[in-house]
Amino acid sequence: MSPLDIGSAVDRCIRLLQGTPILYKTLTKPEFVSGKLDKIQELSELLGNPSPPLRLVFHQLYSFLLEDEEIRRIIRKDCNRAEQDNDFFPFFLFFCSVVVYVEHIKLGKKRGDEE
Amino acid sequence: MLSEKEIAILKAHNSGLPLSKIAEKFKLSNTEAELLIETATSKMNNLRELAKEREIPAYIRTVDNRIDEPQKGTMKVGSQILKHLSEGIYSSPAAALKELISNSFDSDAPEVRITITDDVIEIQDTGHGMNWKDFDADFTFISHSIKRNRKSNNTPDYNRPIIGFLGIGFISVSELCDKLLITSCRKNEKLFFEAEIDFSKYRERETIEKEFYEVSEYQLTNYLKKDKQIPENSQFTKIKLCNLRPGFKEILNDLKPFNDRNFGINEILDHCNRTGQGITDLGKYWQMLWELAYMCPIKYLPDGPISQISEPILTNIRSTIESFNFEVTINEIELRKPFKFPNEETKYSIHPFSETLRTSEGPLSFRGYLYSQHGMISPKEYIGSLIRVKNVGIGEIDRTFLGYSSSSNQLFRNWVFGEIYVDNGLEEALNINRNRFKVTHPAYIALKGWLHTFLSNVVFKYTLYEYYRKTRIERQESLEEQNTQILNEIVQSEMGKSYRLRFQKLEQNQPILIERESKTVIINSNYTAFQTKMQIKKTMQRTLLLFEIAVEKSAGDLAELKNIFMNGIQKWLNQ
Repeated sequence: MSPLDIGSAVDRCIRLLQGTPILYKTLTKPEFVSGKLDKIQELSELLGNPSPPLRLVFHQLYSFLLEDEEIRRIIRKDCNRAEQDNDFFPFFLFFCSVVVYVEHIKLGKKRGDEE
Repeated sequence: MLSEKEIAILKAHNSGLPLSKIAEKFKLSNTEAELLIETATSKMNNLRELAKEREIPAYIRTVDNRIDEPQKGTMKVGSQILKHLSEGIYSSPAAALKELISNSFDSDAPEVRITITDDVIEIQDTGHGMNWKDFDADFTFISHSIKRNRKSNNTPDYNRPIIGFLGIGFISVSELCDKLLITSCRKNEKLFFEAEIDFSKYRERETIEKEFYEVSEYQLTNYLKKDKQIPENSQFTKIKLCNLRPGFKEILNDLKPFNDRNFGINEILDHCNRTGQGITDLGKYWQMLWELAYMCPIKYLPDGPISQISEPILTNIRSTIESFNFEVTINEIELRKPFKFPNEETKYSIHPFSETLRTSEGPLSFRGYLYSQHGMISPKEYIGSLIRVKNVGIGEIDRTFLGYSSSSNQLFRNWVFGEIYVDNGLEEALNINRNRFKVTHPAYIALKGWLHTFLSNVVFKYTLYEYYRKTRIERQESLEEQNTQILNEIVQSEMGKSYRLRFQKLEQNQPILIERESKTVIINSNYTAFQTKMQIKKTMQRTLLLFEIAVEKSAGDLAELKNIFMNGIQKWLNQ
């Protein structure tokens, strides 16, 4: 993907997320975020590296989102046929993974601030 | 990729839970559970690579874990990084196309004709052209431009300052299309050549550990001019961008609100002025055209950039550009620098400058102007400053004025637009894409400092006084005059035409004094209630004047006094 294409793909992702508040809400729900990230933590412990590198985190988050029935249902129903766009869909899911991860960081920070 | 269920099963398995318990916990048969554990373990083994810390390949590693021994290393750039740099250095299609136009400018072409259709862009000029040797030297190894090996920094025919210096102009368009066709020849040479450059083949290819990064493949064929009926004394370069990339095609076809491409800069500006829309409200094609127009070293619109101002620096800039004799047409409509101020009835002024600053990297000379007007510059995309190096616009019109303090002069900065023509000293501060500056370069820092001081000490001071305070004073004076006129009318209408109104400082605490003998009505300008804001003062003066007149005319009859006073109020207070 050239920089021009990435730019327009990112724009499209942002538009999709803005137009589908239910998806954004689900992706950033604290239980959802910590559920996914806890599972990744468990996996990294099994793999013998308790501080997993980012590429493993995104790799796993991507696969969790791909298999998550709720997310697939919302995307299928509300996201303007994004699922049928083979070029764009993986990028969109990756973008959603980033949203989840960013939310995880925010939650961690918030928790830290509260403590 | 492991599913959530697989992770849970693996965790149970690793904790030593027997197979039967695992099967029971996950509601599976023993065989299913065994199969799932096997699949998950195999997937996890595949994931181990991702979980590992990165191992550094031997060809990159230059230091190791020796203790107490200084080691020297070298920093390298991977060829994949070069791939990204060479593909993504231009911020917009206009910035990439500008590079091709700059090539025509450097070749002394008097005219560049650009034809844009849905699928193809053709750029044709009658400059000095190239032969196969020039092509081989200048375009097959992108690192320097042979244009800079010449003795002079200016072109031979029109004395234009040469723009290109790295020879990257050509690859700029690899972001826009997959195939480039070039036809070119030099004057009085027998051959011309046609070359086809294919950018697509190298887009996906991985290249590691190569001294040069390959950006494209090309095929070149020489022909005899006479075989194709091309006169031997002709010279030209024709570039055709084919197989346009989808993102770029989308831009070319976004023509709203016009239906075709037969519109020029004047029409775009007229449309914006008429509708109040900004440039960014138009289709992407028009935004590209506008960007191209302000970046290229072409002439200003007639009357541009500032009409009815004959300022020597501005006249000089205009005549220098005209002496380049460079014309760019797009679909047969001439492209002009899209600046024409003022575009509405307003007070305006120009703040010219011509400076040479000393920096640690040598002298920095520049000239130009800042234009200010009373009110927001429109379209809003014009607010800011544009730096030109060798007459070519660098980047966008910078709304921040090179990072001028955002807390100062927030109102007035929207009233200012300017162009800074840098003649000497800033080229080294340019980034490779010639679209941004290295912000730590001493010349850039010097220019930034100068601009901020000039804005604070000259431009914003002028706007503050001339457009803001002076306008307020003038408005105050005019309201004052209007009020006096109405007071006069009240006196003459209520007391008779022979009565006169006068303002005078009176000792006693009396707002209005009517002198029957001299037929004069005096308004005490010393009276405290009149030393206030115009709106209140106006009401107070009229009310008290009408009251005094009513007292005077009613001769002690209270009912009559009330009647005259109320009628007066009704008649005069809202005027």
